[in-house]
Amino acid sequence: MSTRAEDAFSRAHASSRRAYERGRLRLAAVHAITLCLLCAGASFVLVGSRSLLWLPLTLVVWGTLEWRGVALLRGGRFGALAGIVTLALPMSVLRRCCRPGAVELVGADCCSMPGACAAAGVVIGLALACCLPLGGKRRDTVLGMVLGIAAVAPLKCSVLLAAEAAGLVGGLIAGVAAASVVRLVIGRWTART
Amino acid sequence: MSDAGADETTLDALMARLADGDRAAFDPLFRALHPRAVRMARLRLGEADALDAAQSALERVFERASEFTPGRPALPWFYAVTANEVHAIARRRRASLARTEGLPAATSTASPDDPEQCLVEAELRAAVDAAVGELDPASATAIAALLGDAEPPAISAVAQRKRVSRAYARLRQLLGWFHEH
Repeated sequence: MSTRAEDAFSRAHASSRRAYERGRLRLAAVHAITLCLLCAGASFVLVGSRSLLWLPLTLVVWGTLEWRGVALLRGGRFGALAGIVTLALPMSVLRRCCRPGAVELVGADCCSMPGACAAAGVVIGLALACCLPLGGKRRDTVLGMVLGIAAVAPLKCSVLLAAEAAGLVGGLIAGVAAASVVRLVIGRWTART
Repeated sequence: MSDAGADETTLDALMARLADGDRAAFDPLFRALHPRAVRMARLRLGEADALDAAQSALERVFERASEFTPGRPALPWFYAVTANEVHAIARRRRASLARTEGLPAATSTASPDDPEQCLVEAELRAAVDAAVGELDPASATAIAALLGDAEPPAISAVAQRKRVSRAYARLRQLLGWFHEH
């Protein structure tokens, strides 16, 4: 290969790589904006207008997942599903004392229930992580799922107090982590036997 | 440059991985596609402009790589995007030449018995064949009759024209040109 051809090859390689990343970023932005619009509609109806303040976080995290792709995005899709399930969770599950009449009976202060939020998060996280196809890149898939949760679940947190929000997101992440560790151990054990 | 002769199945798999975001597929795919793009550009534009045109065509291919549908053949898509880009460059150069010299520029500089031209034509033909293979039987027969590879079906000339028109539109869609026109 002549020097001119080698130079041309290197130049074309670098510019094609930049073009590829540019194309991915453009497509990621389109997909992230689409997901944000869907989440905005759902959270506006199910949670309220305060939740829209969290949309920039959804946009940035989902845009990053779409741009990186592969296992991170596959896990992210499951995480986003977990997040969407939390949006649909009624407040009577997250704050059991908020059932009709309960506030009047025991007072408004009892309504902060981080434990209930964490328990709901663990249940949803465990259920989804059990179905998660781990594939070859397990760490990336699990990280993607956690980021997917972090992209969508905070929309629900806008109506919860800080401790409850931390409980819900922490519960989701703990559920995912626990199920993933169990699956990894079982996978290694069955591979050995 | 050892991947330059990668077979079509390998290219399809690499393109599908790249569309999914797997950056590890970029290098082998680039090594396989670069010589093809240079050959195609050389045919249309000549030696002097071939490398720059190939670079521009490859930028376009890789910029749209994430839009590639996994499971579809990669080479027809690659050739459609590359041919379109090279054609656009040739048109711009012709217009620029006509402005500066007042002369029409040559459309092709390659000799008909050039082995590179034969290789590109063979691959282009294979790409078209692969796209024709995805058409429904009636459309595939209409295109084959148009290319002189089959007897025209026993239908009226108007019906044949309509069938060819429909088949051509579908073929352009399969080759990924409909975005460009």
